[in-house]
Amino acid sequence: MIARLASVAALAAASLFADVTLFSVAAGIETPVVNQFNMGRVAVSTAVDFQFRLRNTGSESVLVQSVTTSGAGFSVINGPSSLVTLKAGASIDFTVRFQPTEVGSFSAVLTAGPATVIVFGSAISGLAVYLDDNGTRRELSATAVVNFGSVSAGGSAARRFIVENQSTQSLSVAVSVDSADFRVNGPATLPLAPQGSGSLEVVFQPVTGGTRSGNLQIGQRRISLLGASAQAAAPRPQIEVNLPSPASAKQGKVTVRLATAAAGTASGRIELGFRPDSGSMFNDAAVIFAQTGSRSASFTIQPGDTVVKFGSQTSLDFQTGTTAGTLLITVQLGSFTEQTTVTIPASPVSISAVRTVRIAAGLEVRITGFDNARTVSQAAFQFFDRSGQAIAPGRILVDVAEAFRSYFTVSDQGGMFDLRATFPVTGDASVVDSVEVDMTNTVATSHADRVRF
Amino acid sequence: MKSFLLILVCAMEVWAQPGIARPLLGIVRDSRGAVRPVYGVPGNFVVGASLWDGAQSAAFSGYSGMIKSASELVIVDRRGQKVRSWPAPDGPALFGFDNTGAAALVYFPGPRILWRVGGDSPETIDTTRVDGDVLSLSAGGHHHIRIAVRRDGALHLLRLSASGDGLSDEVVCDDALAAGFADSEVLAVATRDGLLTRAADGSESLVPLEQPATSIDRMGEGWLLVGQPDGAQPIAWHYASQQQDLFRVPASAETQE
Repeated sequence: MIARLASVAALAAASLFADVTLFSVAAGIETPVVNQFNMGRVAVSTAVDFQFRLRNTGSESVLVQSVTTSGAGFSVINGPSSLVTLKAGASIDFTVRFQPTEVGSFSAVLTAGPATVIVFGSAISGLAVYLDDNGTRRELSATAVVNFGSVSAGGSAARRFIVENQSTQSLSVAVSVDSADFRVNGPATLPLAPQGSGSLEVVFQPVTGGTRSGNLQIGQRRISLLGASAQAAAPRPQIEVNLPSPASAKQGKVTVRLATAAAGTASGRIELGFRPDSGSMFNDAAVIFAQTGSRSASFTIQPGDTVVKFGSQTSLDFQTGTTAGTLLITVQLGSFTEQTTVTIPASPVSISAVRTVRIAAGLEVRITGFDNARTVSQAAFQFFDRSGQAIAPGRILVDVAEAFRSYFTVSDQGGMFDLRATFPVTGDASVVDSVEVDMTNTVATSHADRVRF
Repeated sequence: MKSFLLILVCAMEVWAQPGIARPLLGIVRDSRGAVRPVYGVPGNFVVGASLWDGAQSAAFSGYSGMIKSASELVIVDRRGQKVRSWPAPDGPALFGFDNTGAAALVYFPGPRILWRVGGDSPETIDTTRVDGDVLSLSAGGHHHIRIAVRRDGALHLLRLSASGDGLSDEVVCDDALAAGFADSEVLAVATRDGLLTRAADGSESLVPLEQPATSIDRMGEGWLLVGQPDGAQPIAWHYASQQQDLFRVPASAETQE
């Protein structure tokens, strides 16, 4: 309790003076005020007014300079604003208001002309808050913490509070919580009659796991709330890869199903790893998930889900790249870490396009494709005339091993390449009509169909 | 007299270009307006660093490309390097290439302006004969212009002379969601059933598509970029292959948060 007692030692004298008498007036009845006046107990921030009357009970006029109060929580309203001459038998009325701003005891010196008395009162919160504990009321102190216990993810717990208006005034009490994990069931304002009570329900429904806290505000009362969210054990993830033919330069889909329907919310992560056959020095930037452009993605599950969601989608597209090796798809969800592998075997050079161009210097042949073994060693070119006859000097073999080795050493693009080969021609180059291309790596020799210039 | 012919040994270098490089498959504009190269082979793409930011529209034939920023039209070469540019009206644009893949036509839907861009400066072509919302255009043989328009819900194929005179107007289908010229002769149309290609001789083929397309643009030689709804990654359509393969174009790691 906060005490605010004015220094009143000098005011021990009675409030009855030779020429004036101070009365309190209620329902038209005057009651002399002797030394002190109790303004009662009020709720914080509420106001109570008392009417006073200063009467000249002498035979001569009395000068009243002012009517004042000297302490916090008290004030004079409608008192004389200037010097008043109070003739014999005459009186003046004024009102003293008691409006404390916090809980505690208050007093002040009321001075009305020559009359001086002490006014005092006390302030209470006006509200008593009880927790309805299975039918038993338990009053909550100012430092009380209401624990909602532990609930499963997606679950909830409720507590009922009873609010009692201990003041003699009607109150309209605002009710709110400051945490997304708690909510008030009912209107935001609770009307309370004098000495009346009302109730409200607070629901704890955690949006995330772990210990959660908040505050319940009832008027000026603040009550701490506490709860815990016990995450439901996430179900075991099951990786499902849809890749009809495990090979380079393919796009597949990966779906993560759940062994049982999810009981709560959770999030997890999927990683796409790659282990090349030819050693750890080779990277393949094309081994990625299409939706993220990277080798990882996050996902979420909601209660009832049987498959995880990547944003709004239930699967991710991924690329196998153009390097022989092993794809490692790893899913982490809760306490589970699941992994599946996809082996991409080494294969002959894949030639996806052969383009031919006549240039001033002769002929140009561009070969686009990939060598997932990164061991291409030889390219062979055979030119043909318009009649389909092979042109001298016949099959031209080109040792490309060193050129490709140099290229692959610095490339992080897997085994894909665009080979540009030029052939200076002596004579009439227009005789050359078409070309066939072979490329050889450690697996086999690949052949591209004849392409015309 | 029989000509003498000798093919010499292969030279792996041409001028300053390396003999072996990563294959540039096309150029695309991402959802943030960055124009990026796409390297790769069918089924295996790597999206490179931005060549151009703030693009409102872009298309690439494999031989040349056109990029439209808020105030400029830029012509790029087969490597995505700027060749020339002109001031242009604000807003997106549609692009047409000729049968060699060279930049040929630009249409600005807002002001309904059509440019021919083959010369030193753009040449405005009369569009009073173009009735409907233009979806795509190309420069055909004999300087003819082919324009796909949507009118009263139907997709029409217009053929105009070099000066803009109307030569023909043919209904292609009634439920086109988007359209784009695959080359100067072949029109690709997105319908609710999938992707339809319609050759100059009227022959058609249909490729099923899981989700309806929102746009069709040229992204490279033999490749079309098919927009997808709800922010999904676009589809690369290898229309020039016998299988007419569809692949998902990966996001650039740079575009992720």
